[in-house]
Amino acid sequence: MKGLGRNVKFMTGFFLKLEIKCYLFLALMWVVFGRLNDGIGPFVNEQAPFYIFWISVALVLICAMSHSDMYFKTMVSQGSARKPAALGMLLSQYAFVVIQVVILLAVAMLTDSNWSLAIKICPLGLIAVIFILQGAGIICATISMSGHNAWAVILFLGTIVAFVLGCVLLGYAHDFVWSAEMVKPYNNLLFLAAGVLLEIIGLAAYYKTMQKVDLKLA
Amino acid sequence: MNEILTQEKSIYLQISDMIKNDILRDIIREEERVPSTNEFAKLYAINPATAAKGVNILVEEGVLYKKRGIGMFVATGAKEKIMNQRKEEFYDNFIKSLLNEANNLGITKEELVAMINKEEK
Amino acid sequence: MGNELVCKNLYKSYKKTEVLKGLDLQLEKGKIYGLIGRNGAGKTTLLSLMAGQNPVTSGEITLDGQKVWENQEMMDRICFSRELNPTTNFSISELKVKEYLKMASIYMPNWDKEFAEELLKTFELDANKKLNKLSKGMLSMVTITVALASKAEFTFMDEPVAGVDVVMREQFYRILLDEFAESGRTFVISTHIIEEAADVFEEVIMLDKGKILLKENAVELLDRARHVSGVAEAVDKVMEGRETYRPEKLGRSKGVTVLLKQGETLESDTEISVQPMSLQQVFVAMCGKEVS
Repeated sequence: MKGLGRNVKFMTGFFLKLEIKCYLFLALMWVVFGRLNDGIGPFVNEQAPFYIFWISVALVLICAMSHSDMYFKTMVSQGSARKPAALGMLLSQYAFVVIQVVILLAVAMLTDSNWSLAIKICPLGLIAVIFILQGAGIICATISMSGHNAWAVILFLGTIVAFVLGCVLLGYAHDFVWSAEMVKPYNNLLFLAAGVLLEIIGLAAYYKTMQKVDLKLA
Repeated sequence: MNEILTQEKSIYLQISDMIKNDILRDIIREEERVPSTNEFAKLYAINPATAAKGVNILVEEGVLYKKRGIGMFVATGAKEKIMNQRKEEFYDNFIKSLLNEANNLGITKEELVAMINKEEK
Repeated sequence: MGNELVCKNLYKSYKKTEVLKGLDLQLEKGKIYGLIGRNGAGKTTLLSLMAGQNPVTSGEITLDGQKVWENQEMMDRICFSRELNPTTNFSISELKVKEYLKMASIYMPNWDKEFAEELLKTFELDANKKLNKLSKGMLSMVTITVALASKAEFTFMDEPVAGVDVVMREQFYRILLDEFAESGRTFVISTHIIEEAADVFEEVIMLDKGKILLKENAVELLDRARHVSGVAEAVDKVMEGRETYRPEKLGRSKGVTVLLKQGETLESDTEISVQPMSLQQVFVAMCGKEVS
């Protein structure tokens, strides 16, 4: 696709550093909450770190998604057609996510905490969560691109809340994070399916919207 | 050539007038090269197309001519041509408005002639 | 024909507001166009549509017969250097001037690096300063640098001299004319500072209430625009059957603006004064408010 190369060049050249900083911060959160889980600090309630952790993941992804809106607009205002701008932005974001996951996994593996155990046992769960949050993120980026910023934020936070509640209701939360035993595999697959579906819906909505929307590019 | 542009007259006419003035003052002589339209455009910070219009008027009047590949030159006899042209325009440019104004003020032709004769020059 | 940017029957609405209403425009290559119009007339909208950055509500924009929208090949021939606003765009606010230019160069296939560096020096811009530390005038000079160094066939500038001091403005006009003389690139400049820029334009495009009011060679327009004033009845008599603009009345006298036909002349006489007008005066007469 003509124009794709320069958009990827733009994304990696200008924003890779910024994004990596965000992911290192996220990795730090993992380590900290992993430690807290062991009973250190003010969190006496075992459940609390779990929720705090996922909320922090969500916040980083919200930032990434709002960044992507700005990146897309910048590319278009510099003269890129929309399709290569959207594709370039998405490809870069996925590449960033892979980097993010690698960093998280490395940190988790290298630090001695319950996280590393949980990841070794149910990597599928981790992937499912990332898909769900990414998918929700793209939908939110689409909504915010259409100008309804408030709704986008509400939807995204709503997704997080729904996800967390879902985990709790399925009695999944405790097991997912703390248990060293094998968790029910089909629950992971369910989450993964939900995540992939959300991702596909998000991408379709994004692709359709970005072609028609008026970008106030000043 | 270094006069500034004013609002009263079309820019391209001012350009051609300025060139004519310079020819009359021997600032540019006959058979000498005149600056190109781009050079005029640059000097006065105007669009080259406007400068070209002013120069073309002079080409049409036979004041300037073009040597292919070299540039614009002042034609022989240009000075005389301009003088004659201005003598003809003298009536339109000066006499007509003088008569108009005199008429408005109720000054008669005889009074006008008297005024002119009063001038020593 | 072939070498043209053509807008056919353009309509553009933002939500409920219709900004462009059935606009037709043909831009020939190799001219400097002045796009003038009041705030909200639709100048920025028109430029962003022509550059393929925003979609039309209906209508068509073509370059050499090919659609511009989502056609990267055509869009690469157009540079739309718009107002920089680092406060609302954080993706660029922390960039230094030289980094911003580097970013722009990624998107301009004909980018001229030496020219950009020359312009930074001429405009006294510090390449290492961050965009969010620049004044409005300096930001304008950065967008001018991008527009000129892009070497794009069609270059659009939206209010390029906003906030720029008069000395730098004069520099800009001279550099623009130099670049035009050398390259013959097509420029469309939208501006509020009409009188200053008037000498630079070859053609004037007047945009009013979403439509093109006129598109004409600047010199020819001023050759036929006249302000006629004097005794009211005499003015009315001469102006019979003509379209006049912005009538002004004071006691027994009256003044109007009129556009004569090409080649027509009208002389002052005892009853009426016929005066030439500046481009700004013509614009205000045609697009301004009525004199009460």
